[in-house]
Amino acid sequence: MSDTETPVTHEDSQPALPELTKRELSRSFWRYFWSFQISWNYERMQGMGFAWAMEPVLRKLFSRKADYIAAMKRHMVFFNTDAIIGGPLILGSAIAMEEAGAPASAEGMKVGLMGPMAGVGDTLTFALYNSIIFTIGASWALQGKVIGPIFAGVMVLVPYFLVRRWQFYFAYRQGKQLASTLAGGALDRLSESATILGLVVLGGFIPSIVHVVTVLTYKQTIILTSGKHVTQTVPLQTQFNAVLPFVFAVLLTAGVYFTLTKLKWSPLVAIACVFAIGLALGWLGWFAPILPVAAAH
Amino acid sequence: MFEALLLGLLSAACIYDVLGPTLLYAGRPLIAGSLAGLIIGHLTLGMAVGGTLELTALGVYTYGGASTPDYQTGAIVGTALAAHVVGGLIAQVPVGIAIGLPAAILLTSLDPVARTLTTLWIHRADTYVDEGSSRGVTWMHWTAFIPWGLSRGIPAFLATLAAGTSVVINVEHAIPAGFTNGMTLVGGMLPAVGFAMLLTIMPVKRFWFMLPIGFVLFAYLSVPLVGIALVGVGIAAIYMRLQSSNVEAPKLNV
Repeated sequence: MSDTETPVTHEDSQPALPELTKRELSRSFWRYFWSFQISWNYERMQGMGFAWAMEPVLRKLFSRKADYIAAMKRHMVFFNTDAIIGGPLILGSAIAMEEAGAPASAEGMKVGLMGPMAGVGDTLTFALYNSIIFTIGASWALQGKVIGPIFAGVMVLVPYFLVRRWQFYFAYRQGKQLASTLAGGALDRLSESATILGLVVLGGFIPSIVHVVTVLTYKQTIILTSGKHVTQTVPLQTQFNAVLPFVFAVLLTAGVYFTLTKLKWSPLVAIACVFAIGLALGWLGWFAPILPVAAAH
Repeated sequence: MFEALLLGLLSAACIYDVLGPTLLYAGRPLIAGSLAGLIIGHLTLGMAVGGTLELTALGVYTYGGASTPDYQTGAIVGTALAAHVVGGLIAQVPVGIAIGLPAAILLTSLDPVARTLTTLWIHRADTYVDEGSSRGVTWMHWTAFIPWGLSRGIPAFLATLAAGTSVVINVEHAIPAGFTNGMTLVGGMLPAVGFAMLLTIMPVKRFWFMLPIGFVLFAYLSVPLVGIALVGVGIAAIYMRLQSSNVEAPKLNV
């Protein structure tokens, strides 16, 4: 691998670049950490954040002002990827390539990886990890348990820091081999397995979180063995529970999913509809989040 | 006034956390609402309003760069306003959601304003790059946060400022009982939207059969969620093992 990459040094007719020390690397990482997306804008998105994180490295590498300016310009371009999984990885490898005197490879790698990493990273962080920890946290919070928000906070604080730091230094060390490492299909399999985990958990999450039951009742007359006729008020929901518990929660979620995918409703329209339907059914007294205790008897 | 200022600052700090260090993901309504509850001295209310909005918002945080309802400011504003309602949590939480949710949706329109205004900063930064001024670029990078911070801070500040006035208190007296029942049900139903949105970005067509597994474990067997997650890990590991043996097998033949 390394013998094919060495000639890249000749793409720029510069003298050998100085070696980076731990200091520049750590400054670059912390700049990324504290401010990666604070200047996010429609035109370059994370571009300025990326350039500002690269800046300590570029200043060390390019002592000639013209080279430094050219290097900064190289990185002040459009850039957007997942800020947690992807951002530090691409930053670390871009630094490695700049240090190796291969700025064109750095540019190519940025463009090539930002799209795929955005897809993988967004799925892993938002769709999977965040939705699990925040659903658990929120359900505890709704029970009045302070551990809910604390749990979510800690589960962000520690793992998210470690995963970013690890990516940055891993990518720097791996340098140019990075792209080929990730292209092996291992990443695809990993995110697919993660998706499966997410779907299994969702199957249980949805009924545990979506609360809607009917509070309608019907009268039922039964004849006791003594011959006495007794009329009871039976909640309709108990009949549903015997066959398909959480039937309304499932139907509601499936219904919204259908409107979003097949009917192409915007989420805002779906929210407005659920809002209106819920308000009406609750006001009429036909449905409630849970069965009232008295009716459950 | 002081409380309004604090909540305005909190809202700006929350969006900073999202864009910058992501220490707590403070932009998530669960965290933003709880912090707002802490500031106004009513943590349980903040947790309840934030938690409900969180479950509504679940699938929203998915696409990088797209404007999403501002549930963060919605949770802060909803918590702040609901605290002025008398009658305990049962009366306060529905009001908090009734205010927080529309507020989140209304404030969506401020988000693109912030994302557009920041473009002005980047062009100034280009000039600094041409001059080779690293200090100038640093300055532009950090001040570009101003539109972001204001877009979240000002609405939270103004709404909290209005909370103490008689307008809100009068509104609360006019709320009929049916409305409260309806809003409570809405709170129970809204997470369905969050889950449905989450499902749209997952490969449901390919792996739909994973959903009933979790459902049966929970609904019929009453397995706690952590137990369901462990089963999920097992299935995912089996899948990964099968997949990698499929990949490696032809290699061995070569």
